[in-house]
Order: sequence, then structure tokens, then C-alpha cells
Amino acid sequence: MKKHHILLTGATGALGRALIPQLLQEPSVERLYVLLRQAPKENFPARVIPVLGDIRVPRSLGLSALHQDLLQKNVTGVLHSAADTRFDAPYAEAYATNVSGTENLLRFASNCTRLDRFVHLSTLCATGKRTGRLRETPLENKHGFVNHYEATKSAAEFVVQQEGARLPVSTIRLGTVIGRETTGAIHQMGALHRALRLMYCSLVPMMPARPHCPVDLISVEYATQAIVELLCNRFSTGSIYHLCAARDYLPLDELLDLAYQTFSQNRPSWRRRAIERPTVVDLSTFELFRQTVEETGAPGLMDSLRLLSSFAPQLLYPKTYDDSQCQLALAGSGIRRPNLREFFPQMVASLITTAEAPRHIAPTPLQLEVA
Amino acid sequence: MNNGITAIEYTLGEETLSLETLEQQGLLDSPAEQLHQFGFASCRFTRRSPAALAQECAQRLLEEKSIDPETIDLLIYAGALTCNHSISRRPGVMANFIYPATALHDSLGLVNANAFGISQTGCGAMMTAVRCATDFLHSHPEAQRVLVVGADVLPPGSKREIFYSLISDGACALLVEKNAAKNKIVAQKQKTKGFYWDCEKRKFELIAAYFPTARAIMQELLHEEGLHPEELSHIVPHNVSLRSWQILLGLCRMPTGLLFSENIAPIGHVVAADNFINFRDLESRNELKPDDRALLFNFGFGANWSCLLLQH
Repeated sequence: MKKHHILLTGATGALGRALIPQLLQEPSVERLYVLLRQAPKENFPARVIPVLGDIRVPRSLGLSALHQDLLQKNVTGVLHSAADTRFDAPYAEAYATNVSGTENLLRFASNCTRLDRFVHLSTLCATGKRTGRLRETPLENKHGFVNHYEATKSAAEFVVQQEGARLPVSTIRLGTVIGRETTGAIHQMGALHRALRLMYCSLVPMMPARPHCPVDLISVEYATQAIVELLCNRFSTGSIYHLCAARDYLPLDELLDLAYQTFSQNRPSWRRRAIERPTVVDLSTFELFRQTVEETGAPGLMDSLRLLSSFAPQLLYPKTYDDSQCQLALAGSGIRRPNLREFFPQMVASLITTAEAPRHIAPTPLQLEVA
Repeated sequence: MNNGITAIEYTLGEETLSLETLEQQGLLDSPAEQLHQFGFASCRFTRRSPAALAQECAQRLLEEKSIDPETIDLLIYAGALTCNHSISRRPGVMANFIYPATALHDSLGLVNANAFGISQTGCGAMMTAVRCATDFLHSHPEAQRVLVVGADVLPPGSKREIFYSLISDGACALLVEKNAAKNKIVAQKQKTKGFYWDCEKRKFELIAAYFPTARAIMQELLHEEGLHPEELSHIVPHNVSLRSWQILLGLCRMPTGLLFSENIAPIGHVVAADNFINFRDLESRNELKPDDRALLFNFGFGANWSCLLLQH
């Protein structure tokens, strides 16, 4: 069996944290180097070697000379998971991590003498405003984006195509990873989680979208198992995979129905509030409302609308993703897409059990007392 | 039975105050410029009591329509502000029992009518009153007509802006009659959502709930009547702001051309009376043709969403 010495970036990120145990379960992974920006607070297992560095630093990645030498002599594979995943990140910050960071890492990897694989974790968001059925092919940068995250992840793919032409590189575009399919536990609060929490608190009156727009969500288990399999056992240079719900997506209408049913079933007191589902509106109506709220300075709503503005307009560009190459590559591995209609409600239930009220919002219930 | 609204009269505060004047007098929370952008220009202010305004417009309605006061079967006095539901300034508990409804009953000579007041559905008070009037006529075969009177005057020294709406003082009287020849009440719908009862502490949630709930109640009413928005001739608003209506119509995918918005700028929000003042003006300008359908929508703190479909 071929033994891998893997360098993992983004090890402290939402997905990176879940990738570490998955990589350690993989028998072919002999060493796992995790690139960290700060000294770790916890102890890692013996096969994990933390190295301090930062992909935003050109050439050296901010590594000590000793670690540069160690990695360039030993690393056989790179799993590039680091990214600035904030939808509302300033462009320069998103670019520094997602584009320049990827470029720096590719250049560093080109000096790794034993390197035989480099997997770049991208996102379905990189497809931007494209619509229709999207295949597992390189992106063309001509449709535009709704936020800097999409734009910079797309640019990163372009860098991988250009800079990585001389390297054994594969790209995996991930659907939105929302939680564990077995328990519903949420690995990290993302924009979707925060939006659902705001809906639960009656703070989302409308969202810019098309009612039946496909929403592509996957579980932590599916994402991590498939990534490790595609990296370690089924690597194929030049391949592009959609690791996503594909045809098992949820239409937005159904997703909202499932969320509101779950709120109601899990919290009878919530049902009594009779909170309406957000109305799906065109962008101009949403923008007029957002402008009005900004002008009136209602802080609780401003937070909600800023969050929605950062990603929901993507739901005006309906698209589905073909994952046939990914499924072909995973054939026989036993790794399957989870049933989204089962695990999404579990995740929502987990969300409302642990969620605190957002800022500016009165705790419930209000007491029937005269102030 | 064809219950309908056969007559409407209204009285507004005698002074007109521009946004700039109000701003100079410190009677606004928001800058005047912002309220201009929301569609307001001025409001009406009175030094008279709400009961006096109510008396004036109700008296005019009875006289102009030559209605014998003794033929009124029920008087409903509606108002959003609970402070307007006692007309006494005397000290002591007894003063709380001095009601404008029975004072009006006396002054108008409604000797055969019962009287009561509606005071806890906010700006939806007159809508609630029309609903009660319709239900009363349905359940009392001998009854023929109900007089609904709404009046709201902000307490002296109050700011003229509430929740980004410019408020006018005013009163409105209307007659709900059986076998009405015009303005037939085709359908009514109300939603109460108690979760939002504390409108100060839940103000952000309330702003968020306002729009989807408004959309839901209007769409449900149209659906139940088998109507599409394009079959309406007019949407008759409450005058909370033109901006909020632009947003709401976008939400409902209704054409903005349906909205009768002419009164928003000059008089702003006349609390519970807006819809009926607007409908009266629409009618008096001969903008309604026979069988035209008008949808009246209203929201009141509490929280209550109401709509009413009238066929001219």
C-alpha cells in the first residue's frame, strides 16, 4: 500500500477539523502535517505534526526553515482546505486567502520533491451566477458573482488551472456542508444556520430568491469520507468533482417548509407565535426593504438583512450540479449521498435546541407585567 | 343580505403642519427629509377632543344622508388610543367610566341603539368595528343599520411620528346597512398575532412580521373569493407610508398602479380611519365604477392585520 504524507491547510476551519479524524482513519496516511496560524492549544495524535505558517505569506508560507525543509522533503500530498468562507468578507481579505494563498501554496508545493497529488477544495459557490445544469468542468469567468467569496473561490480555481498545470492537481467543488447526518450536530455556524436561526426568531420577512431554486446541501460525513477517498485512494490528476447533493437537492420552498415544520414540531411554544415564512421576492423589492431598514436604523433587522444580502441573491440563479464524475470515482467505496430530507430536519432541530436569541432581540416569552 | 357601507364622512384636525414645521418644533423622531422619502409631506392637528371630532362627522353623516337617528340599531365607537376612550379629565376611579360611545349615543339621539367601544386593536379598530357591525346585522334579523364612528387624537405635546409614520388627528363615521345598493361588503378577514403584543419590545420582529403576514391575509382573502389581484380596481391603504406600500406590493406581486396613495403625503396616517377616508375620497372623485372591487388593508398594534373587500 502506498503511504501518504499529507499536508492539510485550513485544519482549524469548519471542514478541516472534521477532516483530521477522517484522514487518521485512512490506513494509507502515514503522516499528517497540519498548517496552523497559531500554536495549537490541544494535543494532536502522534501521526499529526502541527507546523506554524500562513498560506498568505509568499514563498515560505511563513514556515520556519526547518519546517520548510521537512515538508518539501516529505510531503506526498496536499489537501488545500484553507479558505476565507465569509460571504461578507472585504474583497482584499478574501482575495488574500483564497487566491493569493492558493497561489502561494501551489508554488510551495512545486518544490515538494515527492509530491504526487494536490487536492484543492473549492465550492459550488465558485460557479457564481451561472444557471442551468452545471457539469464538472473548468469554470469560465463571465457570469458574475453575488459576493466576494464566490468571486475569489472562482479566481482560485483559475489559479489552480494556470499555476497547477505542472502539478498533479484535482479540484473538488463542495456543496454547503451543514452538519452531521447521524446526529444533526452542527460543526460550525454558517450563513444558512444563522439565517434559519433568524427565521426562528421572526426576523426574516423576505428573501431575494426564486421559490423553487435548488439548494445543494451535504453532510459532514459525506464530505469528509469522500474527500479522503478521492485524495488517498482514487486520486486522478486534472479531475474536477462536484461533491454535492446533485439531483437530491432541496428546492427552496421545500427547504423552508421542512424548517418551519421542524420549528413547530420541536417547539410547541414557537408554533403559537404563528410566525410567517419569509416571502420570496425579487431583488428590487428586497433591496428597497433593506434600504428602508438601513435608513430607519433598526439594528435587529439590519443584522438579518445584511446576512441575507451576503448570500441569498444567489438563489435568484437556479442551477443544479451534475456529479457523475464524482459518483464514478467513488463507485464501490460505499460512500453515498445522505438523504437530505432526513438529515436537514435533524440539523434544524439541533440548531434551535442550541441557538441563543440574536442580538437586540427580547428573550421569549415576554412577561405579562406592567412595567 | 348585501351588507354594505352606504355612507362615509370624516373630519380632520383643523391645522396643517408641514414636516419642516414639525421638525422645528421637535415633534418628529426622524429627520423631515427621511419622512419625505417615505412619502409624507404634512399632517393635520387639532386642539379639539376626539369625541368632538367624532360628534361632528357623525352628525354630518346623519344630516347629509337624512338618516333618522332613531333608526340606528347599534353604535360602535372605535379608536386606537385607549386614552381616548374616557372623555373625562376628572380625578378618581369613576372618571374611567365616562365613555365617548354613550356620550355620542346621547348627543346624536340614538335612542334605539346599543353602544359599545373598540379600543384594543390599534389602528385596526375601525376595521374591527365594521366586522362587528356586519356580524351584528347577520345575527339580528330585525336590525338594519349600524353607525361606526372612529376618532383618534394624539395626547397634547405628543410627537407626530410613530414607527416612521406621520400621524394626523381625525375622525370618521360610516354607516353599515343591510340591502346596501353600493359598496357591498364581499369579504373580511382579520389575523391577530399575540406574540407581538408588546410592540415596543418586539418592534424588530414586528417590522419583520408585518410584511409576510400582510401578504398572507390579502392573498388568503382573494383566494377564498376566487379572485386574482388584477380583478381588483383599487387597493385602499392605511397611510403608514408610501415606501412600505411599495415594498408590500412588491411582495404581493401586485401592480403599484392599483394603490390609491394620494392622501399619504397631505394627511399621513389618520390612525384607525385611513382606509375609510381614502375610500370616501376615491368615491367622491368618481374613480369607482359600478361593481369595481376595492381591497382595503390595515394593520394595528396588538398585533392585528385586517382586510376588507368592497364591491362598489
